[in-house]
Amino acid sequence: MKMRKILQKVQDFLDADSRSQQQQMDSISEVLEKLKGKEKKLQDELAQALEAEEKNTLERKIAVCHAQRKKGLAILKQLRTLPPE
Amino acid sequence: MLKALLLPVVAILLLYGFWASPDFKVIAAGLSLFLLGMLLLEEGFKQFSGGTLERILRRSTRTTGQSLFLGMASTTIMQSSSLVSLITISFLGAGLMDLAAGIGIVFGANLGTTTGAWLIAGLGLKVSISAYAMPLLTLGVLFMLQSSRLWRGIGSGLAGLGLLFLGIHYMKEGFDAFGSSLNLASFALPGIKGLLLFTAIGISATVILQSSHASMVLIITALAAQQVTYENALALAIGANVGTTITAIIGSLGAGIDGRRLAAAHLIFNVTTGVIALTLINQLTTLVDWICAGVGINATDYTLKLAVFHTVFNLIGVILMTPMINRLASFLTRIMQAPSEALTLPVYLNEASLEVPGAASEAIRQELIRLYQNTFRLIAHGLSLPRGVIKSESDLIAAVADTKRARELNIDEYYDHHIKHLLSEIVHYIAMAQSRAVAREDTEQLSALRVAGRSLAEAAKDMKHLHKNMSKGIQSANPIVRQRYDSIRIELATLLREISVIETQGENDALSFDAALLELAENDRELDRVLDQLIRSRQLPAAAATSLMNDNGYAFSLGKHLVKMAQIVFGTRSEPIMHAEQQIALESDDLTNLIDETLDEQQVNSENGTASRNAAMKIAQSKPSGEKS
Repeated sequence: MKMRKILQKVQDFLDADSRSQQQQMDSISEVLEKLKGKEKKLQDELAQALEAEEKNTLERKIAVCHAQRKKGLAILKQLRTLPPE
Repeated sequence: MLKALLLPVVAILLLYGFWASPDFKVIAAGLSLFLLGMLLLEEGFKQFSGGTLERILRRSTRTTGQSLFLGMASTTIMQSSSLVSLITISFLGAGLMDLAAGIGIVFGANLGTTTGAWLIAGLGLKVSISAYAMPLLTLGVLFMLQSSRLWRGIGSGLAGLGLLFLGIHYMKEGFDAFGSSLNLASFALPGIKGLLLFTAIGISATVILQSSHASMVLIITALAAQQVTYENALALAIGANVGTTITAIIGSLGAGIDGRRLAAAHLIFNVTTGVIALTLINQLTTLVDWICAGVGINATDYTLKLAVFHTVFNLIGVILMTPMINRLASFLTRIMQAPSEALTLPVYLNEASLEVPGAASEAIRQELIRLYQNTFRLIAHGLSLPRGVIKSESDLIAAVADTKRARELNIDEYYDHHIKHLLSEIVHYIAMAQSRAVAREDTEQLSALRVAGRSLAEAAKDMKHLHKNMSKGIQSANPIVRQRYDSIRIELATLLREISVIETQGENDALSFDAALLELAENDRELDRVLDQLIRSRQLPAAAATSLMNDNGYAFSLGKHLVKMAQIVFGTRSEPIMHAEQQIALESDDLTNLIDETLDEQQVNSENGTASRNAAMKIAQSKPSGEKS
C-alpha cells in the first residue's frame, strides 16, 4: 500500500473523535481476528486437499488472507501510535 | 416449443407463397423493404439525437396544440398520414419525444390527411411518393458512406424514406391486380347493411392498398362515375380512415414499446372517430349539406361533399379526443408494458422508507440486489454460459469447453432496458434519502450504496466491450485465442459463482472476494508474458494479441467492479466492520505487490535449487510483522 493512502487513512482517523477512533481500532482488530481464524481454517483444508487445482485455490486464498492481515496490522500500528484526540 | 417452431413454419409458408404467386413475392418484398426503411429511418433520427433535433421537436411539441399543428402541417406537405405516423413512431423509438406529444401529432395527421381528399376531389392532384424513392435511396446511400455523423444521419433518414416509399410502391404493384378487380358498383346497398358493408370494404381496401389516399382515389372516382351511391361512399371513406392505421401497426412491429403504444392510440382514435361517424351518419350528412350551402358548394357536387364529410368527421374526432390525450397516454402506458419492464421498475423504493434512514438503506440494498441480478444475467449471457451452470456446483471448465458458439445478445438494448432505468431510479432515491439523512454514518452508507450501483453499471459496460471480441474469440479458428477467451470466461464465471454463494448465504465477510481478484490480476500478468512469446514466435498476429490484452483488461476491471459491489451489498451490515473491511481489502497496488512477492519467491526457489514449493504458501506461513503470538 502506498504511503499516501496510509496517510489518508490516518488523516480520516484524526478527523474522527476519540470514541469513534477507538471504535475503528476495535473494528479492525475484530476483522483481523476473524482473518486469523480463517487463515488457520484454510491451512487445515490445504493439509487435507489432494487435487492440485484445489490446492492452488486454497494457496491463493491463504496468500490473500495473509496479505490482508499484514495490511490491517500496518493500519492498526499506525493508528495506535497516534495520540488520542 | 411453439415459439421455436413458429419461425421455420412462417419461412416455409413464405417460400411456398413465393413459389405459388409472383404477386405475393412482390408484396412480401415490398413489406420487407417497408420494415427495413422503418429501421433505417429510426437509425437516422438516432444520429441526430442529443442536440438540435430534440430542441426543434421539443419546441414544436411543447403544447398539445403545437403537436396537433405539427402533425397537420407535415401531413399536408407529405400527403401521407401513414408516413407521418411512421416517422412519429421512429421519433418515439429514438426517445426524441414523449408518447403524449406523439399522440398529438397522430391526431393532427388525421386532420391533415383530409386535405388529400380536397386535392383529389377539387384539383384531381395526387402527390406520388414512389417517384421519390430512387433519388432518395441513391442520395441516402451516398450520404451514409460519409464519415460525418450529421451526413450519416441524413443519409440513413433519406435511404429509410426511400425504402419506405419503395416498399409501399411494391405493395401497391403487388395488389394492383386485386385493386383493379374491385367493382364497387356490384356491392351497392342501401340502409344500415350498406353502411356496415361499405365500411368493411373501405377498411379492407385500405389495409390491402396500404394507403387511405389510394382508397380515396378509388372512392372519389367511383362516386364521380356513379358506381357507388353518396351514402355508400361516405361509409367507404369512414372505412378507409380506420384501415389506414394498419400502416402504423405494421411499422410499430419493428419499433419499441412506445411505437406500439402510439400505433394503438392511432387505432383507438380512428376506430372511435369511425364509430361516431357511423352512429351520427344522418346528422353529419345534414351538417355537411349545411356547410356546403354556406360555402357555395353545389348540392350535387358529391365528390366535394365527400371531402367536406371526411374533414368534418375527423375534426369532430380531434375535438372530442384531444382533451383526453394525456389520459390516453397514461392508459396505454399502463396496459401495454414491455415484457422486460417488470425487471426495470423498482420494487422496494417507496416514500415511506425515506422517512427512516435505516429502512431507506435496506430498500436501496434490496433494489441493488435486483440490479445485480439483471447485471448477472447480462454477464452470464455475454460469457455464453447458462445462469444455472454458473450458480450450480457443476464443472465450469467442462461447461466452457462445451460451448459451441457464442450467444447472441444486444448488450446496448439490454443495458438500456434492464440496468440503466433501474439504476437511475436507485440514484434518484439515494439523492432523496441523502437530503433527509442527518447522521454521518447514514450519509456514508448511502454514498457507499451509490458506489455499488455505479460499479454494477461499470461492470455491465466492461462486459459490453469484452463481448465484442469474446463472441468471435469463442469460435476462433486459432486454438490459442480460443483458449485465452475460455480462461477469461472461467475466471469471471468463478467470481460470479463466489458472489452467488455469498448472496445465498446472506451476510458474509467481503474480504473473501480478494482471492478471485488476485487470480484475475495474476492471469492479467501471465497473459502479458505469454503474449510476448506468442508474438515473437509468430503464433499469434499482433492485432489479435492487442485485442486479447484489451479484453483481459476489461475482464479485470469487470471483476474489480463486481467485487466492489459485492463488498458493499453482500458484505456485513455493521457500519464500523464494513468500514474496517474496506480499509483492509486489497487494492490494485496490493495485488500487484502480492504477485511480485510470489514471483520473487519462485525465482529464489528456482535459483537455490530448493524443492518446488508454492511461493504464496511461503509468504502465508510467515507471521505478519507486528502480530502478537
